[in-house]
Amino acid sequence: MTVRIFMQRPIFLTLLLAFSLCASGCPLRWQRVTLNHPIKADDVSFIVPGQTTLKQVLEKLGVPDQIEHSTIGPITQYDFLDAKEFKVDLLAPLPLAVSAVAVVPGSYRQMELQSGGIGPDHFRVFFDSNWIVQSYAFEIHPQATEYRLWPF
Amino acid sequence: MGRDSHASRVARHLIASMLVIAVFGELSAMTGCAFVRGKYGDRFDPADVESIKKGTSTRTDVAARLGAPDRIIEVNGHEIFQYYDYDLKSGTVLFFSRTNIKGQDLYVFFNKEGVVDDVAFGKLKPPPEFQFWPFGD
Repeated sequence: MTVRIFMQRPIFLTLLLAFSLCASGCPLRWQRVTLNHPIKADDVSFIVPGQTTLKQVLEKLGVPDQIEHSTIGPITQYDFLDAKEFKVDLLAPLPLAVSAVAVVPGSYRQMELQSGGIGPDHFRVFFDSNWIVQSYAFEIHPQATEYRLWPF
Repeated sequence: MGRDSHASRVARHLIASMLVIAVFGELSAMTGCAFVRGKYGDRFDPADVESIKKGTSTRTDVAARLGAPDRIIEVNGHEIFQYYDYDLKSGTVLFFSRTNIKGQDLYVFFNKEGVVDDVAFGKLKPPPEFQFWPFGD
């Protein structure tokens, strides 16, 4: 599913590119990228399978990011994403201590530790052919996004 | 002897403080501040959306008003035109950076005759905020 989203939405590729570009050229960086406002369990407590309609879902949660077809019925999907990254170049202060090192090009005196993760989260609502909710589910990756110093 | 020891302690503290300031200054000089805004697609004009009439407007009318759709989906016997746009705001201050992106979607449902059956536009999401602090919610 994630691969398909990346294919369908060029913004995800742009986002990843922006993420990597912004991280370059800086010896110390905490960086975060968020897509849309996360939907939480409390936000969807109004949904009653077998009763709630598409219109009611749209009124409360807004328009979904995707509508897909399945053999059972339509599926609406809300996408939200959190990405975190920490980076440090341990040798960046070296020219201050050993001035001769300054003549070495910057790219040859780097020792970067970089670690992070992307949590592509989704909320999906499954409908029957009359657009009545049959079930719903979250796909959340809370462990995927953390600032970590040690990448090993 | 005691005075020498005190003087050397002060000197060491002074050197350490200067080193910390120099390192921080060096790192700061390598970073900086930036505020960036980007968009993917045009934000929908509510007037254009309101001009689409259920039971009257056709595929051609919709395409003439909103342009070619970003995606065409077939779901539950309906052909659906999907339009979307994204708004990006990014802030960087010293070592901290945060980028917020929000998407907005519009769906136009057609019946088998190619006439608009429904329009799913919903409430507009508020635009993303400029932030640089990457911690917390």
